Amino acid sequence: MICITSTTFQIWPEFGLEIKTPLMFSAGCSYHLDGSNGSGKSSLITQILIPELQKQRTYTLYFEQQMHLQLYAIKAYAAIMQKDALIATEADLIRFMMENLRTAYASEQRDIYLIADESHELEELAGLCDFAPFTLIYTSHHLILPDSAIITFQPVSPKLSHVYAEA
Amino acid sequence: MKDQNRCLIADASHPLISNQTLLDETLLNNLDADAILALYEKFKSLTGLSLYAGYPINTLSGGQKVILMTYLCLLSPAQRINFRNLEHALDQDKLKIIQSDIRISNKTITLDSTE
Repeated sequence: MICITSTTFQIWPEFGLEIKTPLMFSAGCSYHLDGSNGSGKSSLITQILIPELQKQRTYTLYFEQQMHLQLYAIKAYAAIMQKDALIATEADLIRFMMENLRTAYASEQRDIYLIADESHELEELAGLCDFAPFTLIYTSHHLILPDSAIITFQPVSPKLSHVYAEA
Repeated sequence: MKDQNRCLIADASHPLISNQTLLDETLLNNLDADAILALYEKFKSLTGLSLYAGYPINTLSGGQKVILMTYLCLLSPAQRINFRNLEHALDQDKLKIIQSDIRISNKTITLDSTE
């Protein structure tokens, strides 16, 4: 489990996040980051959550929003390291990375965190990790997966959002 | 001969062409001074953010980039626009406003999803 304590993070010079309640991410659970455009969901992921996960021995797969750059990077990696892997779409990329994760997990078990920022393939992503328990953290304006805990982002100004876990 | 099917394609999966300042995007989309002022006003009304020519667009959120892309296109001289994957990254309130602005636009606009 990872925990982000109540504090204020100055994410960018012009934008901050005030964590109003401790945010706890437990193994085997799903968390929906819910808020309007620009409320800081992606910033929490990239500037707070992933750095925190990197301090621990976890497997963290992060599928970024508007992932064309990530897609090119993984395609380049696959072209060199695994020539038979054909990656053309986001769905291909997710399957490739999940297969990679399956192999790594079979070799050494660690906690798994899947982070999906506005992924078009959110449902498939959750279904693919059938070989181990995992924590799913996601943003989506159109889909809430069953049994997801909600973490709300409430903009109080263009420069600050409040973040709290729904009871 | 002019290709009647030619249109400006704007894909919300990669909304901006450059990654530095807003000026690059306004130049690429050929916005005139009045259109730029209209862009600033519309963007502020939707996001609360005040744009300027040197605004670092790489600091915008994913959804804000899509909003910016949309109005760069709507305010550009392009008469035919094909928006792709527009709905995915936007929250419902902003999506309704954008859909309304698309409806009242005097341009020929098509909406597609490629995902």
